[in-house]
Amino acid sequence: MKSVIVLVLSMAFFATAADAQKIFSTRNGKISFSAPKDEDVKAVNNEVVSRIADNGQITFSMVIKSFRFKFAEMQEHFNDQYLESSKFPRADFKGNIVNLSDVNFSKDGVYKVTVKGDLTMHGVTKNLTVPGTITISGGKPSVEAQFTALMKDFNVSASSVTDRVTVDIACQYQ
Amino acid sequence: MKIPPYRVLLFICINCMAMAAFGQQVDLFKMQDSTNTQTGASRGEPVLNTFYSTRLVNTHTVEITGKGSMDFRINHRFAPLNSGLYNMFGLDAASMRMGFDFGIANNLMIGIGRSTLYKELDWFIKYRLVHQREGGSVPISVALLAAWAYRTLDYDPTLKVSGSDRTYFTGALLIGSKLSSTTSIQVSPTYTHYNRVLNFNTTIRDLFAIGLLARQRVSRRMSINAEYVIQTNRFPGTYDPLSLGVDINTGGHVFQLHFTNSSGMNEHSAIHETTGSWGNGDVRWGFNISRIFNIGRRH
Repeated sequence: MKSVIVLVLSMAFFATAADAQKIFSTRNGKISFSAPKDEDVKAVNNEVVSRIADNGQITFSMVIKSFRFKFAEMQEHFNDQYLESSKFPRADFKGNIVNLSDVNFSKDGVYKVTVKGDLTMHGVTKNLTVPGTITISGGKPSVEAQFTALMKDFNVSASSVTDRVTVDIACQYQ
Repeated sequence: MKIPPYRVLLFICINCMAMAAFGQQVDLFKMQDSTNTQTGASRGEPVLNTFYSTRLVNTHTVEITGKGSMDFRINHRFAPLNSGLYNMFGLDAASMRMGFDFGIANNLMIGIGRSTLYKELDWFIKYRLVHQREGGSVPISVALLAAWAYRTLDYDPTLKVSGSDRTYFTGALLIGSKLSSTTSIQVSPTYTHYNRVLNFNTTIRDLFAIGLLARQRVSRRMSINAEYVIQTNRFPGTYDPLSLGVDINTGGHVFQLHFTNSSGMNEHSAIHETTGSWGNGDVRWGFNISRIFNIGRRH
């Protein structure tokens, strides 16, 4: 009997010691983009699935058709002519925090990070390095970042509208 | 107490298993792939671009101008090809319609226009009752059209042409389906009423027709279109309109180039006042230009 108790306690000890990884996730992350030269060209997606782990991995996945524009005609052109969302329904990002040692997921604070990873969109995968901020508040992280995506990098022929968009990311994780 | 060696071995084994089970590092990248696979199926979004524009050539498609947008449309039809080299195969003369369409709510649009043919004003309202969805849960789009036209051409006072004599009504049920990413078809049962027929010798006042529309996309920006309207009864000397054309969609502009035997460009005249016949080479070259302006309030 005594040995059984010893066994259970030691199992618990070994298990906790090994299970150091924390994963945070959200299903309603927000990613928006806008064209710097045309204020009408902007859209927001509030249904981004994102996860972040304290091993430095961070992922984003979004359905292209969930980007909402002010003008229905613009949203239709975006989906049908430019991003071809029936053919390429989603965009994905898989990256790692380069300076993971600067971030303490257990301690509230604001941490500047650089994330390097692959963004797949419109059938093209491109390696990106994006600076951002991780804020830990009450033990839960939130992420903010901004970067510029060039249309030609993703083989999107929207030159009559814009050659680039500014992408804003704001995710609050649970 | 002496612990038997097999107990020690069991102890180590079980603890290793616990470590393996709990301590496995979860790979977020694999986790994302599996989430995407689970949610990868079509979410049943409304289909886009069954047709590139709200008209295929002359008749209405199931498409509705987006809310907050204005569509400025300029249509031209030149004179018949069989008018010969002297008239540059029709290019010396042109008939036109200029129109403004407005998307005033989701699935609801209105429009006004004026044609040079008989100096007619026209206006219409179109409502999409059913919007086809991806994945087959709703396989068709259905829209209702009501259109009026008013002829402002001066007539000899002895003809006593009243205001109501100058008015025409067309109603249509538009049933369309995007069969694949490239192919769309539509059937449009149409009813037209003339209060008085001024340029044909007939007692017919009510006409029925069925429009058959098809488009085949040949690239992201181009489609080939065909539009044929079968009239179940017709004015003497008229033919069923057949139009063949291409759409070039530049994103904002749609250029529609075609050959057609109709000369009218509003709802009633495009169908029922087609005096040209393909057989005689009485076919016109024409184009429509559609330009979308986003005029709704900004954020």
